Amino acid sequence: MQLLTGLAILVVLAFVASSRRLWSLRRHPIGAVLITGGWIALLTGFLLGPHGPIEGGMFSRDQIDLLSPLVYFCLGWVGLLVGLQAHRNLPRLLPPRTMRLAMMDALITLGLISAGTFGLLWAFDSQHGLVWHVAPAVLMGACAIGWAPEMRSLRTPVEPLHRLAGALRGASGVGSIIALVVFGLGVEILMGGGAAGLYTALILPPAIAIVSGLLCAWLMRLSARSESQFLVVLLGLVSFTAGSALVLGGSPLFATMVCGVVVVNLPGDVARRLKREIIEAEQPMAMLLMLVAGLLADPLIGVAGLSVLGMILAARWLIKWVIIGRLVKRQFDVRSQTLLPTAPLRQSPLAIVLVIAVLLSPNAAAVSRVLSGEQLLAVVVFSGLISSAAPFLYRMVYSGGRPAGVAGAWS
Amino acid sequence: MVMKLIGSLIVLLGLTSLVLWWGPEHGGDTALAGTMYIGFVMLGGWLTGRLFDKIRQPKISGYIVFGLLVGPSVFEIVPDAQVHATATQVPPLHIVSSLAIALIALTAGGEIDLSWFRGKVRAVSWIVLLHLLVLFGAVFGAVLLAKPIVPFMADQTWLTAAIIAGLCGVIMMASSPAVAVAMISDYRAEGPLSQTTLVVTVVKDLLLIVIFAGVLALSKGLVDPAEPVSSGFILAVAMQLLGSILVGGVCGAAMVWFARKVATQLGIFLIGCCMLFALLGEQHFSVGEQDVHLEPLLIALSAGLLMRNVWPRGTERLFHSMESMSLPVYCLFFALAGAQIDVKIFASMWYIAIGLVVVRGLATWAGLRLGMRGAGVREAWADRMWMGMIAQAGVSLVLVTLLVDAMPSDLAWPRPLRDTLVGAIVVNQLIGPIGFRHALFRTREASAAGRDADSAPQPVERISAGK
Repeated sequence: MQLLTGLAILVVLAFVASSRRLWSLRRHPIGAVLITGGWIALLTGFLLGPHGPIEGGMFSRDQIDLLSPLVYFCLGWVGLLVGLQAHRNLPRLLPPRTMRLAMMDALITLGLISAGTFGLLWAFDSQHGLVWHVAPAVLMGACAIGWAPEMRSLRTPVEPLHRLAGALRGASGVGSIIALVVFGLGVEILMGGGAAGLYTALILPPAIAIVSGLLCAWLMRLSARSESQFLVVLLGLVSFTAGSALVLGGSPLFATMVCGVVVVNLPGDVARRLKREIIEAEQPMAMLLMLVAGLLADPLIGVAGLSVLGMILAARWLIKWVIIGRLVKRQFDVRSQTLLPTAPLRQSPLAIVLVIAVLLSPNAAAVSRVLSGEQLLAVVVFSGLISSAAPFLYRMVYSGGRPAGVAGAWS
Repeated sequence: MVMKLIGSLIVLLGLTSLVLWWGPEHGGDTALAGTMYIGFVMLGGWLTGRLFDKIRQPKISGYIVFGLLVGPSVFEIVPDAQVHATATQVPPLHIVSSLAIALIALTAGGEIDLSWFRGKVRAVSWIVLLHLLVLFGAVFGAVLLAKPIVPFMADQTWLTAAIIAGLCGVIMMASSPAVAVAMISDYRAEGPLSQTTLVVTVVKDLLLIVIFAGVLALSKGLVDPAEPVSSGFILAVAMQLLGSILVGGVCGAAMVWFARKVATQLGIFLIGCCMLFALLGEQHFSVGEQDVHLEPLLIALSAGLLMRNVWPRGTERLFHSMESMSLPVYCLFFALAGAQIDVKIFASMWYIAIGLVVVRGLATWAGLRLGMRGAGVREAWADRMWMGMIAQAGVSLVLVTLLVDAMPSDLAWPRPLRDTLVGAIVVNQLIGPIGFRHALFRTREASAAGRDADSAPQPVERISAGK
């Protein structure tokens, strides 16, 4: 009966959330951030989850685990979406300076934030040895790479800013790819532990993903022009690749990303059709993952969590301000005060997805001795929420241009 | 093309076998394989369905055969734990199958045009009534006559034999609306045969739930003196039926509101609704001493019927979304149905099962012929309608399980009876789609053009588009 009540609440919320009146609120920038950024879904999840205000929660952890096949599928979907951005022409499409900047951002962010998190976790628990803090440190580093690709809520129709938005979006895509590679090859292997884990997680899932990618392109050609057959191939291959990676001890996110990289670099128009299908379902996938994040996150992060959060925010802001300065001042001629240059301050939504992937993996218990997986998720959620407010703080300080428009979910 | 399809199937099977062999050997976890099996069954079912289509057999038979071959009874690539739900664990494939049943029922409800039905209430009533009477009578009589040669009946009293025969009669009355909907939609069949088959199948199914509840209550009361036939049981069944229809009505109204006022992400919305229907069916309530639960099939059927016939404006796009989602759903649902077939059970009781299939087939032909004559239908298609009534699937299997669970555990006959009935259902499941395909093509309600229409671009939304 508890489940039924929870469902009824969810249904009512879903109806309210999808009403046109609420959609009109998205024209306001704060409304856009809250609704399309998925923060309302996250809040809903938190209110219904085991860490929410209701004793025991409407949904227990066991009930959330029942959803895990669906979440694995969503993770696979996100992985494929990221992988499809890795076209071999990507370095040529982006200005070389932007590309270099994205790479620099990834390297510095990963190094600085991983080291900072490692240091803090070690300071809070030096008894269990150094090795226990490596995986959460690299995870936090990967989460901080790049920035949110959504630009519309910050944009004004001024010509140079179109180019800036394109550059920022492209650099964000590069950041997502690097973050997923770090996650797939770093965090998952560190959590799996040992040579056996390294062997299965490093070699076989990507190998299966490559064959799946080739099979995907082949089957999509077999499906001819039929939309429903195309859908069978898409749904089937995302489930198959994500599930295979899980059975082999790898990450569904990374495996489907490899699959996407293979597909996008094959000749023909398969990748274009695939991208269209994938992007069209982006909003509901984002909402579902944010809802799951809300259900799982434990906001009682303690002093250790607050310290890590503070360090991440400070380090990210520092790195991104440098990027903003270099990218905006040296490469683009932005004279008017607009919010667009502040886009790199906002944390990439992929960060939350990465922590969910860790939390639902069989090795979740090995994440950290200081902060549980749920607390790490809360740290990333808080970091994302605060960084989303950054452009508005900037506007309050500088009273810049008026942002308008409706944002896409994550792109 | 055939070689390409076979090649793709081999690659898929090879990849799956590699993952299942390597994973557990090197620290992987097959308990997490649910997501992989969903993809494997969907793709494999689709490829085999296309292969069957190329050799002029129904795609559904291809999905079922693929499921049967990779299921626990033959090559065991998909293990038993992934196919059957237990009290403590519900595998992801099973959850997806529940969603599929809801979506199929929703589609079936939406396919029924009551304005067409209104003018033919008398005819449909004649067809259903005579069909059911002849079918029940024939199976009941045949099973009773076969008492001396059926091992699990030979030692029973004539009263027990009559109970067994009655239960067989009820189970054999069921047809599969899922197969009817899937094949009509697959071949884009249109005409009196398709429409009448669908309406008769759905009406029969609704009646069957009531008849089954009544016969089961009576049988339980006769074989188990501790639990005589009670009015409470009948009341519980009535509440279950009415409650499901009422909840379906409310859900249908809400869906119409969404389709009209919000009208975005319809595919995702539909999946959410089907999930809700499936979960509503899991909820149990107590009415007196009886346990009552809602019936997802009825909820979805009522919702679909209401949307199509009461508030058709604005719901067309919702039905288009259902159509575009139907192929993945059919691939999964029927492949899982195939995987649930137990070959060992069939092997132990094959001769009795085949006997039941033959009697059922003949009775279906005779009952429908009588019904058609009674209704005054003398067109050529009427002679072929019996072929559309042969298929049995999920509902029949559920009824058999309910039957065995309801009987006292100390009785010897319920389990062999279940095995026999499951055996007969398996045969009907395999031959039913072939017969219906034949009927649809012979009456020209389906054509090669219709079969290939799937290759042409359709003006429908995709699952992910929903707009």
